[in-house]
Amino acid sequence: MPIKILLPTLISIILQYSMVVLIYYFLFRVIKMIHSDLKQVRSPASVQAVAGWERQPSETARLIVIDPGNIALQSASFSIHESLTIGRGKSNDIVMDDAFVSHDHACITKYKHDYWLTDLQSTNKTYLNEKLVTDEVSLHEGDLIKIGAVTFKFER
Amino acid sequence: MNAAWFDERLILLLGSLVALAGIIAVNMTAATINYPVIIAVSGLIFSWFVAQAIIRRKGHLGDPLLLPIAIMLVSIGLVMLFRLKPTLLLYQALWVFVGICAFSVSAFFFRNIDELAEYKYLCGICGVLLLLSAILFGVDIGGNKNWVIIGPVRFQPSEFAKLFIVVFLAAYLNERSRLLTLVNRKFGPLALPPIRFIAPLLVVWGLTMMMFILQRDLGSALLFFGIALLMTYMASGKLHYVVMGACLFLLGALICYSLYSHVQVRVDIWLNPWSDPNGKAYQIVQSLFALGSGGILGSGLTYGFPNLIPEVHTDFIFSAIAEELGLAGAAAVLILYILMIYRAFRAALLAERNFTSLVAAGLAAATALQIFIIIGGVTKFLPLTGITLPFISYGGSSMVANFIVLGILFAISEKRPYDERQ
Repeated sequence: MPIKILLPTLISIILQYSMVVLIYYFLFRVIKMIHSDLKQVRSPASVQAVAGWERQPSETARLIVIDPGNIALQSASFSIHESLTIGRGKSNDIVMDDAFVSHDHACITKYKHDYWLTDLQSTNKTYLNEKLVTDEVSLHEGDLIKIGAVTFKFER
Repeated sequence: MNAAWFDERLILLLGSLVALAGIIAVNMTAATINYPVIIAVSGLIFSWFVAQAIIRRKGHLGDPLLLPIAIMLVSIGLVMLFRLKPTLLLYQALWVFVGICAFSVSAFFFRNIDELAEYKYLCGICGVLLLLSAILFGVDIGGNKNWVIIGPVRFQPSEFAKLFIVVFLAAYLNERSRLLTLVNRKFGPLALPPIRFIAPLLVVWGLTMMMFILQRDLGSALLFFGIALLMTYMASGKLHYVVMGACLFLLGALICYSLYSHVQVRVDIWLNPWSDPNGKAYQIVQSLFALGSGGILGSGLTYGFPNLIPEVHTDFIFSAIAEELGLAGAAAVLILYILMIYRAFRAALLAERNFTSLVAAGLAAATALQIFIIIGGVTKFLPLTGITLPFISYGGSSMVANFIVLGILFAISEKRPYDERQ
């Protein structure tokens, strides 16, 4: 007779402890998934984005995003080394995910001590200080470059 | 097909096992098997696996952690409800099933949530009407006048109003985020933009004060006002709004305290529950006893006395968990909520558009605030307010509304290349 009462109680106690253990094993698995997820996020793109925020030495030029329009850009400022390409294509330095922007839209290249802006025959054109860019133009401190709805400021 | 989906299924299985183990453990203490309940719970387990399989088979790439965490909370809630009010379990199982269906539908329906921004005023009007319906036609069930009865259906409109208000505020604030940062008027240390830009916020303040006074629904008032404030802060990044809003709310609360006796009672039993432990403060005092007697591992399911707390299966279910599963169980529940909110904010941070980002952040903040208010209430950290604990408390409106919230977050958390998003 006692076994008939004891057994269900025993099963109940074991199940209750296993329930708590299962909850914590669940938490362990979830945190493990989050951990591997955090490692994945440290991809080159995000590292580059983080680097973009840092103060650059004064000799490198930068493009500062003045008006991001509705487009999510990787960063608020981009440093220009030897050259910088802008466009919708994934291989560009600044990827602008907007139908208004051409696949390879524009590029900036360094020649001696000057930076030159070129429009790569884009469909919707590039504007420098509200003027259409038709030929290679050299950039000066404070120039505003407009591509689609996005405005960049050139700084060096 | 994918390692993440396999992990998702594994942790879903763990959640299901918790539900089964808990239900059988409670059955065993009575030495009888309640077959309808076991069949219902097995059916639910089957339904959430089917939902997961369908969502992944259709190529949805939402966050693999959101659903399992919610399911774990639901499992804990079902076990506690079965132990506290066995007769209500079948109803709750039905509501969970409806919730999972709502989750699956909204996970796909809200994939293009951007389009909802077009209907922001419709959303806003729906939200305000739902809140007003509770204020005007509210029926008193269990102390709060926040139920609406339409024929055979009775529901708590404030749970659904939450959704509409968040979508409306997200769209409204997103359009005006620049205007909100304009400052042209100074009131001492506070700098404010022109009144007409903050008018909707004042409307929300007025509504919440009405809820507070007419409905005695302190929890929902605090929740809605908190949502409006937090979302304004997230959209504008200006702390002025939070300071101004908190001042307005405190002012309103002080006026209510001096005018209305039910508010005075709430605050008095919060400040000193021991002045009337068997009368007005009975509920909170019993809750404190339950929390205190739980200890580290708790008394064990069915070995405690949580049924001494009135309304234990809805608002006070956290006290019952703390009593019977102890610190181990209560801490696990809190960690589950923290992880869920973290994933929701992560979805907000990764969202590509400001509007979707604000919707996700608003829903995350609303859920977090709700959890904070009710757990703060039952542990006597805040004055007690009756709102439900998401995914755990008994209640159809709350369960379905929270699953829809989860579905929206799930849809927003999906990262898809822009070109495929047409």
